[in-house]
Amino acid sequence: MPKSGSVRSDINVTPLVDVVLVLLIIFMVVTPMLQKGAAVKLPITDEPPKKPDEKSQIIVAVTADQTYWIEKERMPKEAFPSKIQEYFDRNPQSTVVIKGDARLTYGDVKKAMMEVKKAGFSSVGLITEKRQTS
Amino acid sequence: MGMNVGGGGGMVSDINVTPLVDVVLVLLIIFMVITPLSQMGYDVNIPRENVMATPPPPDQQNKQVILAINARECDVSSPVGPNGIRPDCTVRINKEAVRLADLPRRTTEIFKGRKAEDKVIFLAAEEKLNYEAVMQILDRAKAGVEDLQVGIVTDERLATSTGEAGAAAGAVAVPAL
Repeated sequence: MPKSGSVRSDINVTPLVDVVLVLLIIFMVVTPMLQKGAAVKLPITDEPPKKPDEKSQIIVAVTADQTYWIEKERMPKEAFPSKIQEYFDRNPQSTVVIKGDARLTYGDVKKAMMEVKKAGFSSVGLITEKRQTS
Repeated sequence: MGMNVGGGGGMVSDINVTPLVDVVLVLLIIFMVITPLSQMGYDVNIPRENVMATPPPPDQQNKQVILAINARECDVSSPVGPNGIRPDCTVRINKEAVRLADLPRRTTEIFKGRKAEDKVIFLAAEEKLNYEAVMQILDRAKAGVEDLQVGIVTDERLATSTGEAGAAAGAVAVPAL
């Protein structure tokens, strides 16, 4: 039988819930900002290998309407070759990744790859998304 | 008398785990959020120069593995839905027809015992095919082999030639890496 001023043996969850909620809100706000390059609907595959993003990585995005993006800069198809050439001249060691929209044809993405090749890069990364198993 | 250390308002001798649990839970949540955001993708080699004219030396010819996807045998011209590619889809590995379901097993067989630098598959897909579908087929091909490198074949004719005529058999237009 507990005494009048007995010790409460429950864990006080209020600070925990506080912290967790704050973190949840922080991530809800930050997550949309974390996306790099243009927003594209990435192709979904089963077992994509991890591709750690390096500092000198150039993100090329090709959207469904075939506009090209390099990093945050939007450009028409025609301007892409000279722009990517500029990037290669500035830093030939950088790696290029292509985020192609899933609705594009293979030929569209291949064209982008060929332009990247013409600029001087010898390999590209094709970014995909892992299928959610649920 | 006696050794009653824990007196009336005795000391609590347990470790207070609450801050620990706090920190660990927060870390767990951080990683749960960040993990799906990490970038994933396939590295692809693109030939530097168009050295298309000369076929590779004979000792390289049977080493090269070309994965050809043509629209006639695997019609994936429209975006693939959540169900993935139709299971009756057939691709060709060095002219040999392989059903998509058998693709990982077949590539495992082909690349078994090869040196790391010979583990290269060349992708020749018809340009009108859907990009996502091609990536999914490539994913299946890579699933059977660890550290399989991917090369791109620029010549589209390789995708459509199914080898019946045998015309393009020798003129494999893949540059050395």
